Formats: sequence, C-alpha cells, structure tokens
Amino acid sequence: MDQNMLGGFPILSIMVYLPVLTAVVLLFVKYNERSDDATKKRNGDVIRWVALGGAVIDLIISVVALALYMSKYFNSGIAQADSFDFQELFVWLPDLKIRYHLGADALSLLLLVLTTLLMVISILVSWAPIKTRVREFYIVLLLLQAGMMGVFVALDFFVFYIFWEVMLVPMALLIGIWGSSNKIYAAIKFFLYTLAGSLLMLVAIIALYLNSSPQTLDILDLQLQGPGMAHDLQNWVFLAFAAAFAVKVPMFPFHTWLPDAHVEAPTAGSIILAGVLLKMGAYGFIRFALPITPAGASTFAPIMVGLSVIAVIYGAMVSVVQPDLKKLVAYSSVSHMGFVTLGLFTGIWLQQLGYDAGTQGIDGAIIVMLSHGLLTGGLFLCVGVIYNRLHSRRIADMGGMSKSMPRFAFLFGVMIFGSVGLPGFSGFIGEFLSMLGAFRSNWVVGTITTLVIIISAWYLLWMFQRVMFNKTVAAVRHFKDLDPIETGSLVVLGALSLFVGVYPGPILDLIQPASHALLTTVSTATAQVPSIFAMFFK
Amino acid sequence: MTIDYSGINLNIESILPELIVALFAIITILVDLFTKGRRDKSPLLAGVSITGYVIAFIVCILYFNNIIGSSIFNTQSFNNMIVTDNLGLFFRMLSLGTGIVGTLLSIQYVRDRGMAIGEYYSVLMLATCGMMFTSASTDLTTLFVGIELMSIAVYILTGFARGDQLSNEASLKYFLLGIFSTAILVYGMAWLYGNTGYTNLRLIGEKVAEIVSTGGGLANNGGLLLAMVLLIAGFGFKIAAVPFHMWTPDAYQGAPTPFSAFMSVGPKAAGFVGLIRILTEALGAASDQWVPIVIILSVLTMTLGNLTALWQKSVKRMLGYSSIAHTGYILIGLAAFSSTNSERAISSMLFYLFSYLFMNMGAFGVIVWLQRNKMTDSLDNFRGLSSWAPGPAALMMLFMLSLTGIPPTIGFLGKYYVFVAALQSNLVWLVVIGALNSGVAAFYYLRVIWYMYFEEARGERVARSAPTLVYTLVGAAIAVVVFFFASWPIIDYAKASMPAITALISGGK
Repeated sequence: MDQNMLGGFPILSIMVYLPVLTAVVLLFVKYNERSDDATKKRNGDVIRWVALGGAVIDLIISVVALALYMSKYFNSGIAQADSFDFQELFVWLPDLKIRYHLGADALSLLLLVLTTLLMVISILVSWAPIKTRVREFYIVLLLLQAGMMGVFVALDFFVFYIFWEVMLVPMALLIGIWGSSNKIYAAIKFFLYTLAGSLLMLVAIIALYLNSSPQTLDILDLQLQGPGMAHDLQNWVFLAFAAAFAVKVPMFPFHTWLPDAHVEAPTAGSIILAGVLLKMGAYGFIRFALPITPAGASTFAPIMVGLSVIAVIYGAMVSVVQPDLKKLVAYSSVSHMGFVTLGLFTGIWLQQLGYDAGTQGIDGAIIVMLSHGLLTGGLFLCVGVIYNRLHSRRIADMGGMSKSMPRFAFLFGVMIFGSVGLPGFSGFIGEFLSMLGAFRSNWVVGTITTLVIIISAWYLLWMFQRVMFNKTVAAVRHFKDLDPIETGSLVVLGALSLFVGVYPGPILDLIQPASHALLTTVSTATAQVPSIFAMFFK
Repeated sequence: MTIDYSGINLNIESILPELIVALFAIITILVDLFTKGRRDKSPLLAGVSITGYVIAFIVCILYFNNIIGSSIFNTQSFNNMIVTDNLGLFFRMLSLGTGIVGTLLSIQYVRDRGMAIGEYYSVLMLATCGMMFTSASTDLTTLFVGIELMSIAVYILTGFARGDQLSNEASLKYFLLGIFSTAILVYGMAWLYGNTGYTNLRLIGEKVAEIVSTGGGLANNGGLLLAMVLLIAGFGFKIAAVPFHMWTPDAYQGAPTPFSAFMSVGPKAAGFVGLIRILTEALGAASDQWVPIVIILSVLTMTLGNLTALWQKSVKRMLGYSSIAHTGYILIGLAAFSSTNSERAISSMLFYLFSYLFMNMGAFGVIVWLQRNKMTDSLDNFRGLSSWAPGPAALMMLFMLSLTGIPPTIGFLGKYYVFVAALQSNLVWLVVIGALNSGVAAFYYLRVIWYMYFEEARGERVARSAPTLVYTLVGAAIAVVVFFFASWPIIDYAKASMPAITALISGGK
C-alpha cells in the first residue's frame, strides 16, 4: 500500500516543508523598515538570496523526484493508476482515523515541478519591484508555496484540508499588502469566496468519513469506497466539493474574484495565482470529486459542461473589450480554464450517454492545466515587465514598444502565440484534445468552443498589435529592453511550452493510465445514473 | 464502582485543590498587607497567587491520573455533595489554567492603572475557587453555592476599575441581570427538587429515568419540564447563550481588559460544566426533551452573535459578541448528545473550551498590550499595527485565525471535533449552519487582520516594552499551534472525562 521507491525516505515532506524552513530562517535575518536605504538594500538582498536558495533547492528536488518516477515507470512498464509513489504514512490522530499520508503520482509530480519552477521565477522577478516589507513578502510567498505543494501530495483528507486552508491567508496578504490601488477589496473578496467554498467542502469531507466503512479519511481508500455509496449522498458531496473547486478554477459564475485579485496582485502574486492556484480547482476535480463521487459527477455533468462553455465564451468576449492589459490576461484565464473543466466533464457526460469516451478529454484537460501554467504565467510576467517601466496597465497608453524592446517583443509574441493555441506549443495539444472530447459528446458544444479559439486569437493578437506596434508613444521610446533575469525566465517558460507542444509523448504516457482508470471508475459507477436532465424531463 | 449512600463520608482530600486556592487567596491578601512599603508589588503578589494555582493544578493532575487519591476517585464525598470524577477534574484544571493566564495578563495592567493589587489577585482566586467548586458539585446545593461564589467575585472584578464609568456601568448591569438569572436558576432547582424529592444529581437522575420509563416520558410531567426550561435559562445566562446574552458585550467592554479575558473563558466553562452535569446526570434520561431546546439555542446563539459582531467598532465588544457565537458552536456539541453518542459529544465540548482558553485570552491579551501603549481598544488603533509592532500584530493574526477556525490552529480542530460529533448524531443542517456561521465570522476577525496589515498607521509610534505580557502571549500562541499538531493528550483527557451517568445510560440502566 504505502509504496516508496526510496524506502521510506520522506522526499515529499522535505519538498513541502523546505519553504517553511526557509521562511523561518528569514525571520532571523536582520531587517528594519526604518533603517536607511543602503542598509535596507543590503539586508534585503540577503533575504532575497536566502529565499532564492530555498526555492532553487526545492526545484531541484522536485525535478529529481519526477525523473526518478519517470525512469522507474518507463523502465518497468508498470504504469498503474494507483501508482502513488514516495508515500509517507503515520498515524496522527487515531481517534478520528486521521493519518499523515502523503504520496505523489505523475499528475502531482508534474504540478509540483510547475510550482517550484514558477516560484523561482516569482522570486526573481520580485527582486527589484518589491521595496517595502521585503522580509514579510518572501515569508508569505514561501508559506504559500508550502501550502500549494502540500495540496498536491496530500493523500488524507484532513491533511489535504489543512494545506488547502493554509494557502488562503498568504495569498490574501500578498494581494492586500503589495497590490495596487483597490487591493483591500480584492483581498477580502478573494478570502471570503474561497473560505465559503472550503467550509462546505469540510462538511462534505466529514460526511464521507462518517459514511465510509470502515471509517476512513484516506483518499485512496475513499476512492475505492466512494463509488459504492448511495447516489443521493454522492450528489450532495459532489455539490459541496464543486462549491470549493469551482471557486478556485474559477468556473462561471464563481469567477468574479479572479479579475479583481489578478489586477491588484503584484506580478509574483499573479504568476503564482494563474500558474498554480487556479490549478487547485481542476486538480481537486480530478483527484477527489470525480473518482470519489462519480455518480454525483455524472448527475451534474451536463450542467458543468454548460457552465464551462459559458466560461469559455464569456471569458473570451470580455477579454476582447478590456482596456486594461492585466484584466485582459485575467479574463483569458477564465476562458482557458473553461477548457479544462470542459475536457473533464465531456468525458463523464459521454460515458453516461453510453459511448466509450476515450481519454482525450481528460488528457486534454491536464495538458491545458500545465500549458496554462507556463504560458499565462509568462503573460503575467510580460505585463509586469511593461508595468514596471510604464506604471500603467492601460492599453491605450501603450504602443510601439517593439522598437525600443525587440527582445521583449519576440518573447511576448511567443507567449501570445502559445496562448492562442498555435500548433507547436503546448496550448494547441491541450485545447485540441479537449475539443476532440467535446465534439464527440456533442457537436454543438464542440463547434462553439472551436469558434472561441478564433475569438482568443482575435483579442490576444489585437492586444499584441496595439501594445507592440501601432504609433510609438513618447514614454515608451527610452525603455530598456529585458534584463537577463526577465529574458531567462521567459525563455525557460517558452521553451518548456514548445517542448510539450512538439513532443507530448512522455507526458501523455505518464498521465494516460491515470485518466484511463478515472474513466473506468466513472463508467462502472454511472451506468445507471440518470443525468439531471433526465431527472427533470422523464 | 460502588457508591455508598449511607452515613457521612467526608473525605476532606476531595476538595484539596479548592482548599489550596482559597488558602492562597488569603495568603495573597496577607502578603499585600505586610509589604506595605514596597514600590512594585504586582509581580510579587502575582507570583504568590500563581504558586497557589500551580500547586492546585498539580494536585488535580495527580488525581486525574490516579497517582494519588485513588481511594476517593469517582466517589461522592461530603455527604454526596462533591464528586471527584474526571469531568470535574478537567474543568478544575481548565479553571486553574484560566486563572494562571488571567493573572499573567494582569501584572502590568493593574500596576499601570493603580488598582488595589492585593484585592484584585485575591478576588480573582476566589472566582477561580467558585468555578472549581461548581465543577466538582454533584448536588444542587453545592452547585448553587459554587456558582454564587464565582458570580459575586466576578461582579466585583467587573467593576474593579473604580474611576472608569464604563466599568461601573458594566458591573451594575451584570449584577442586576446576574441576580435575576440566579433567581431563575434557584427556582428551577426548586422545581427539580419538588418533583423528584432529591437534591443529589445522581439520585435525581435515577428518579427521572424511572419517571421517563414508567410515566410515558417527560412530556406528561409539566413540573419537570418547567424545571428543565428554567435551569437551561439560568445556565444559559452564565454561558451567554442567546436570548440570555444581553450582559455580555457591556460586561466585556467595561471590565478591566485582563479580567475580560478571564471572564470570557472561566465563568463560561463553569456554566457549561453546570449545564452538562444537570442535563446529562440529572436529566440524561430526558435528552429527547432538552436536545431540541439546545439545538434552537445553538442556532440562535451563533447566528445572532456573529451578525451583531460584524458591526462593532470596539474590539473588546466585538470579542464579546464573538464569545456569544462560540457558545453557539459549543452548544452544537451538547446538541449531539444522545445515549449512543455521549462520549464524542461531551469530549468535543471539552476540547473546544480548552482551545478557546488560549485563543480568546490571547486575543484579549493583545488588547491589554495595546492599552499599555496608551491606546483604547477601538478598531482604529489596530491600523498599521504590523508596521510599528510586528510581533503583537503577528500574534493577533494567529489568534484571529484560530478564532475563525483556520488550520493549522487549535481553533480549527475544536470546530472539527464539534462538527464530527454533530454529524454523527445526524444533525447535518445544524453543522451546515455552523459552517456558514464560521464564514460570516471570518469577516470580522479578518477585518482586524486587514486593519493591522493593510492600513497605514497614523503618525510615528514606538512600542513600550512589556516582557511578561509578551511572553504570556507567545506562550498562548505556541499552545494554539502546538496543540493542533499534538492534540492526543488533550483529547485523551477529554475522552476520559465523562460524567458518571453516561456509564449508567450506556450500561442499559
């Protein structure tokens, strides 16, 4: 059961708690807000280097873990859905069957690497722009990282819930302290939206615990027991889970916190928010809501597909008319994340209608998640680059930047084309698979979403034209081109996206067993479940 | 376990902890008297009274683990008026903990305000002593005497800041409403005695069980029903349950702040132990009748407490309303009580009260710290606290998160236990209301964090040093986090702390 190729070595715990440790170290670095500028800068640099060191070590550990996992499963040829490795297990609160259980499969590991990579980039791009409360900033950022990584590796619902809530406070602080003008409103909105969802999920978790026999909070055990539970219970539990996850994705109509939070967050915050935090919702659906309550998922699959389609279209339409550059990218996130939920739930819907869905939808969803993390993270970085120089996010204030910043123009272009879904980039693979799934379940849904790709090309390319070309604005003329850190970060993100786009084989091989197993669970459990439409119109 | 009802079994050692506390209350006064010339007596007198608390605490722990006094364990003493059982011991230790933390928070405060130091500590000890007597009572008379000893001491301390109008007003309001509720309590006890013929809780319990099994339930016995309602109302006042909560915000706001901290935990715990003893030991067989009342009280209490707390500008007053809301959460645990689910129901309440001690007294402690820096408890004074006092701001943030119920803090675990207990009794909608209420509560706790971290401070400020206070708060903060990760010992203690009647019920009596 608790499989660990490293023989019990707690590599996941080390990965999760290393940022906490780094944050504790930072507490002891001397730093005073009131000292003179030179001292402040000197001490601030110590803080930045320590934070960067911790993040880089974490990145290395996560890459090593992924490499070990890949080599083991490709060499042995065993790639099973329950192939959670690096597991750690000990009893924490026996009275309530709470165990400290961690483990990672391919999906977890891919998301872990994404997290550690984006964290290194976030720390680097905050080097110069963050000048106030430097120590607090990095402490908050590192605690956020610990929470996010914990969510990806938790295999016990209690542990999972703790990490899930731990993410909440640092992110709200990040927006509320270092954000721009309307930051407090955005921070509070973000906090309350997510908390409301989480509390309902907590009730659902306890309900699962009390209805399992033997009573357990272990996610792997519940994945086995869940599909056998009463359909009514599964419906309610699914709805409660969906409340928590839909806010995080965010699905329409729970998305309204996202543009506010993004616009007000500092660049690092936006990168983390778009790159990792938005993946929490989709990860939650894949890991918890779908396998544990498949009957609930298929009851509501048509509604989830409908909401996804609305999110895809609505996000794109709003992006077209956005005068604010950062808001434009934020709304495009709503649209892109719509593809993720679309891919997931069309697969379920198909199974329910009696077709053999194939794994395209789910594979597509996972690839879109990764690709969105890389590309939208990159786009927010680009927005940050412009904002640091221009101190404005209004597209109307921009124009002709390609003349003074040719390197930037090229890399920004790469990010834009990737996001549009140009073949050769990761975005294409993900959205293509996701649409393939959509077409197979319902050609109307498929057609609509395909048209959206055109809209997304429209708003992204039009934005690119207005910012980079057009008439050169006076303020832009003397802008310095990208510094090495910014260049390096964008090159890495672009290259990874290109790699996944050109050679998706290994990643698809890694995630396919998991999506197969997910489909099997769903199809065996949902054969007799009427969808919500059938319930009303029979 | 055989209970000997014949003859008078005194067993003086069964009230040893109370005797120690009462003795040290006198010693504190005497030390105050004989050190008239000394300039700064506060730490000395605090030290004396804390010594008393600690000795009594050690005795309780030894009793609990049956290291000493096993001959009196689970036996009734003083002619069946006092019992040394784990439930009582748990609450005695809780009271002593409240006393210790309350004293530590007071040291600088009472000196800064020029209060009568000896009397303050001494009366605080007597209040603690009353709470301990309440916890140990197994008879209506001792229960009442314990409650009164505690209440009178608490009325005095509420008005202890003599020069402060708010304090005087609070004390008078609290006193008038308090004696009114005491009258209700006595009236309820009289009806209980009249209908059963006993004052001993266990004998009442057996009688009630007999009435329930032979007389077709409590519904046919109007006298007992009236007694039950009156007793719930009387204790409802002590624990600040809606609609008996009116005194709470005024008293918390007016009382000297360290004492508000004490008052928000100690008397509430004493009220709860009284309620648990009466409802489970005496009226345990009639739980079908009182559980619905408790459910309604719980919903009203948490909802009204939270909704009113949203609008408060004074943080002390806000904590007053939040304390009402927490009473509501604890009542969820009591509502989960049934003959099959008694252990988890009771132990979840005990754990919640334990967690409440640290997080709420910590939050009041930060206000004490603020007042030492010559500021009032208005929310405005928290503006930009993190920029000129990062330490206290971080502590306050932790306490606020714990009161909200966000992991990894003990407050989350407390809520979790209560929710699990209630879901086990199939009270799904009660738990959903509780969860939604936590969401509402997040808003006003969060507002404090937002003022501290997001707003700018007005003018330059430098914090005055207050080492004892800060160490106490750090200790509370450590407890808030550490007992989240290592909660086994407390949970084991809570689970072992069952009132004796539970054994009767599950034994099929």
